[in-house]
Amino acid sequence: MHFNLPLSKSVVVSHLGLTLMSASTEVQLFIPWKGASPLNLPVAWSYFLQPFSFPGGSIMDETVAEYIRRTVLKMPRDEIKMMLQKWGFLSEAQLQTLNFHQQKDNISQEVVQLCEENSAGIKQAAALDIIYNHIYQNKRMWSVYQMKKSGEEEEYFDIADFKKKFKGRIRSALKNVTITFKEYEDNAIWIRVAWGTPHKKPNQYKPSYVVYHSQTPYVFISASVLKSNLPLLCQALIVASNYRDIREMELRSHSLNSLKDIVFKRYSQNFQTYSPKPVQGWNVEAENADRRIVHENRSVKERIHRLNQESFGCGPQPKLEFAQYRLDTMFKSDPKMDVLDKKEPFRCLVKFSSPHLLESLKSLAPLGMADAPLSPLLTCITHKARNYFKIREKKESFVSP
Amino acid sequence: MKRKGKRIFHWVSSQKFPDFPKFLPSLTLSMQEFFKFLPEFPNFLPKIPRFPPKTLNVLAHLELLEAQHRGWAEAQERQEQLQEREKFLKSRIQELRQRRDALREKVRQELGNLGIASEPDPREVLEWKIQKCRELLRLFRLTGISGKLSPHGISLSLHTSFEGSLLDSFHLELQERGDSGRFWLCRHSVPPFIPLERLARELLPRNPRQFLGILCRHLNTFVGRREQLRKLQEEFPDSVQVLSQNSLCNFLSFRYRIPAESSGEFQEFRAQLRYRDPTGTRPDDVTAVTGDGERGIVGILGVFWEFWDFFENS
Repeated sequence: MHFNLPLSKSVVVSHLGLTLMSASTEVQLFIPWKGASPLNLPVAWSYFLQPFSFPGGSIMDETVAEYIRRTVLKMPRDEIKMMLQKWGFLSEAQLQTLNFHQQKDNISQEVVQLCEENSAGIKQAAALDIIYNHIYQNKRMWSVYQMKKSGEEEEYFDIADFKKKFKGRIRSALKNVTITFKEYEDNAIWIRVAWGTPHKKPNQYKPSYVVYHSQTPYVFISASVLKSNLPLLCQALIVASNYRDIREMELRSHSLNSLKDIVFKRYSQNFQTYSPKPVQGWNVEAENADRRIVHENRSVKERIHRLNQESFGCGPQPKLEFAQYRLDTMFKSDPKMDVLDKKEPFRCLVKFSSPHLLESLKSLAPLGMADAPLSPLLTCITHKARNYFKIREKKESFVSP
Repeated sequence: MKRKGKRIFHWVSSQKFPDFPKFLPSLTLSMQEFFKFLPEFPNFLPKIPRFPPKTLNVLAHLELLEAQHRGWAEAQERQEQLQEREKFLKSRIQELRQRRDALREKVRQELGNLGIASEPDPREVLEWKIQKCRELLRLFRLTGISGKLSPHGISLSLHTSFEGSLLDSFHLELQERGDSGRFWLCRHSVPPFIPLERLARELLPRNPRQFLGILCRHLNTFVGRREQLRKLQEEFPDSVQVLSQNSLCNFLSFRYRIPAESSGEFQEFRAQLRYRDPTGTRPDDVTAVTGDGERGIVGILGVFWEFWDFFENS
């Protein structure tokens, strides 16, 4: 836990796995192809070239090939085979011909060659990218958006209708986009959108990802660095899912599953029931193991444990990385000391960060670092589903505008 | 000539004093009367000499202190003795109680052997009743709705079931607002695709029972549909493929591949189930589409009803 007291905004570094690979289209790259023509053409030039046929007889865009190659290079070597199988674009026979024990560079070249034989397009490349990002979803920073209902009750959710409306809305505003959908078993719809401008082709290396569960008002967006397209994305989502309004919740994390747990109320809350809960005692077995140890403050420890369980629940906590509190309160001091001449609010930013914030908060009281019960500002994070707070002067209420 | 006698102390101050009780006739106190108002000293303390001491003899003073401390040490010893006696008596009580219980058991056994039923111990009867109550409260969850009063309000648990097996539990916490008897929803663990907020807004202030009943039905039917889907996928992994489903499981489409009896080839057809009413267990709308056209439908419908029977009877 560290304290950050800058007066400016704190910068949160998001782990975008793509940053290493993101090459804007302005950079010129020379790609030696195995079966390429003697001309080594830079990538940017390929926009103006017609896709030319290889001796193998395949027609594939150079950008697509490069994108597939880069995506394969991102994957760890042991998992390339599994991901290609999930992709399903290359047949089993083709996968058998690949040698996965060589260098990744060579593996990627071979994969690209096979894709050429099957004439892969940008859609298939985007599908492969979605598969990679679904497995490594924790590398991106996700933020949660909440949609408000328009009032009338929807009978059922038709995914074909949703896709059509979404695509239509985005395409009507911007022609050069690549939109890809993929549904998963837990009713999650993954949408990948690569943005372009009216004059440029879509930038495949900086896409935005949207995860939407049907019939819920929550959307999880991992925006690309190009933030200007976010309003259009939100608008398309509202139109496609028949809602009226969308707003950003103050909840951000790397772990998408934890965000889903918080928002869908799947995390373990402490509800009082008569049914016997699995009592995770206070390590009773460890106590009985060594009878020579006498605990003098057993009752105190049990009390702390009980209070902790009431605030945090018994089970595992969702995984958040930080909680940020922006204080906008007056500095309360002895009037005689007169620290501040001006009577204006003392601005302060307190940020708690940890690899697993809620577990560390849960273990503060048992370790003796804080008094139990913990401050409600810390324990209400999952209940209020937010980790950015603004604390105002009036009644110390933590409601942000 | 000096006036000797009672020394009179007056309050020396011009401040206002609180009203003294009426029985104090005067404000003047002498030294002896002052001592009367102090709390009673324990008996073992020697008489406190007047201050300042008459002699400034250090040795005498030390003797005085020694006597004081000796007195205190004796008092402490006496207290320790009392405590030991207390402990001993307590253990004796325990012992005697154990003996009494053992003898009681023996008596009961003897009476039992002789065939005479003995009277049940009232304390035991009470304990048995309490135990029974506790178990009943624990079993109450099998009814589907159970609750408990908690410091924050009422904590209700809705336990869903499908065809005899208990499935998920969902919890609600309700608080009473003021004395008006209206409840409002505090915390819950209900998934977001159940229209909880709408139901709470419409029904909870007026009719909490109806709210609970409808919510229970929503949850039970949702869990039932989900369970049916899961069982279908488990039982027929090859023949049925789920093409699409949604969170509430009320819009499902399947693709069936059934081996035809006559020829060895597969017959494929797709079906779409729509549950208009979220609280309904049966779909309102079934659309079956085959690739064969009219000819295949009759044969396929027969197989379809087989699947439907599975739905009904599973």
